[in-house]
Amino acid sequence: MLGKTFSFPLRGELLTLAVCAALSVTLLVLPSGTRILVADSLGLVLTSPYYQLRDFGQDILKTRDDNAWLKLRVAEMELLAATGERMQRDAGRLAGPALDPGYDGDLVPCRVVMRQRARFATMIKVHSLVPVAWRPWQPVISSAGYLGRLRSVISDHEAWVELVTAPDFAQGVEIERTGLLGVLRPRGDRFVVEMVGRDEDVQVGDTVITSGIAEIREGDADPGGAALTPRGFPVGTIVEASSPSDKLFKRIVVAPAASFKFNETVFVVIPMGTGPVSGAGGLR
Amino acid sequence: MRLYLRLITLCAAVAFVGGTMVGPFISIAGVAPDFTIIALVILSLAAGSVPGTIGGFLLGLIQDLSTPSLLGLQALCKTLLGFGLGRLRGRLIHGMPLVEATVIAIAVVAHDLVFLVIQSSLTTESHLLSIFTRTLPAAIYSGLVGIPLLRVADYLGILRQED
Repeated sequence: MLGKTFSFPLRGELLTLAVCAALSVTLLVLPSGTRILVADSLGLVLTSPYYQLRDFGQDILKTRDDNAWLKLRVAEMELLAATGERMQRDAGRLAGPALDPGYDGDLVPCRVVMRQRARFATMIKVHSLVPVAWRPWQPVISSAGYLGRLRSVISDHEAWVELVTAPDFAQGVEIERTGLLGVLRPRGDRFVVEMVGRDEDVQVGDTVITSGIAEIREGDADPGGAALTPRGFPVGTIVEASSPSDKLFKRIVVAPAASFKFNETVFVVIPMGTGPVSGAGGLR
Repeated sequence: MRLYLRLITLCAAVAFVGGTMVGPFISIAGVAPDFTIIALVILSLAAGSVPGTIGGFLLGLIQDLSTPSLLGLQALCKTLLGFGLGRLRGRLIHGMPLVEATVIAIAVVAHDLVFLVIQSSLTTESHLLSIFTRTLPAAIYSGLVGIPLLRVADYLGILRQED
C-alpha cells in the first residue's frame, strides 16, 4: 500500500540523495566554530524538546519514587511518635494509685479492649499482656480511682469487669476525713453513699475512699481474701450532703473520681503472689 | 495516511526511545544494537528511497548534534544508507527473519565502514580497528534485535509483501 502511494521516479530519488548529501557535506566542511554554533542551534529545535520531555518523564518517575519513600518514612515516624506518646501515657498510668500501706497486693495493668454498648456502660472487657491468675470480685481501679470489680474471667488474659455504674453494684466506702463508713450505690445518673447517720459529720468536698471491709455476697462462693477490696482507693468527692427530716440516714451524693467513659489502661488489684502465672515474668 | 503515521511513530520510537533508553539498558560489554539503523531499515524498506534518504539525513543530523565536531558525517552516512536500502525495497524476500537480520547487519557494517573511513581521513587517528571491535558485534546484535522489530512493523501493516 505504501509502495503504491509513495513512489518516486529515479530522478527524484537521485535529486533527494544529492540534496541531502550536499547538505551533509556542507555541514561537514563548515569551519569548526561555525559547525558547533550550527549544531547548537539545530539542537535547540531538533533534540532539546525530546530530551526535555524525556528528562521530565524521568523526573516525574523519580519524584513519585521519592514521594513514596518519603510517605513511608513519614508514616513510620508518625507511628513511632504515636507509639512513644502512648508509651509515655501508659508509663504515667503504670504509676497507678498508691496502695494502702501494709496491703500485700499488686497491680496488674490491663488494656480495655471492649465496652458494653449501652447508654451508660456497666461492663468493660480488659486484656492483660501477661497471664494472670485472677478471680471474680477482685477490684479494678484506674489511675484516678476505683472503677469496679472483676465479674467474669474469660481466660488468664481476659476478663469482664463490672463497673460501679452497674445497677446492683454496692461497695463499702469510708469518708476519709472522719472515717465514717457507708455503702456506695449507683442511683440513676449519680452515686450515693447510704447508711450514714443523719447526725454524722459529713461535708461537701470530703473525699470518699474504699473502706476495705469485706462485702458478703449471697449466692456466691466466698472468694476469701483474694477478692477483698483494699482500703484507700479514691472513690469520689462528696458534692451534696443533706439530712432530710423524714429519714434516718443522710442523703450524700458523690462525684466519682474515675471516668467510666474512657479508660485505656486499668489495673486489677490482686493479692501478691497470685499475679502472673508461673513463668510469665514480673509485672513491675 | 494512518500508515505513514504508524511508520513515523514506529521509526521515531525505535530510533529515539530505543537508542537513548533501551540501548544502554541491554548493552553487552558496551556493545548495544544500533536502533537508529534498525529504524532506517524499517523506514526505507517500507517507504522507499526518498523517505529513506530524507529520514536517514534527519536521523544522522540528530545524531550529529551530540558530536558537533563531526557535524554532517552521520547525516551523510545515513543519507547514503537510506538511499541504498530504499533501492533494495521490493528486491528482498518478504518475511524471512534471516534475510531481515542480514540486511540490518550489513547496513550497520556499511554505515560504520563509510563513517570510519571518512572519520579517519578527517582526523589524524585511524579508527578502522573499531570495525572489528565495535562494528561487527554491534551489527550482529542489531540484526538479532531488528528481527522482532521488523515483525512488529509487519504486524502493524507497515511492511507489505510488495515492499
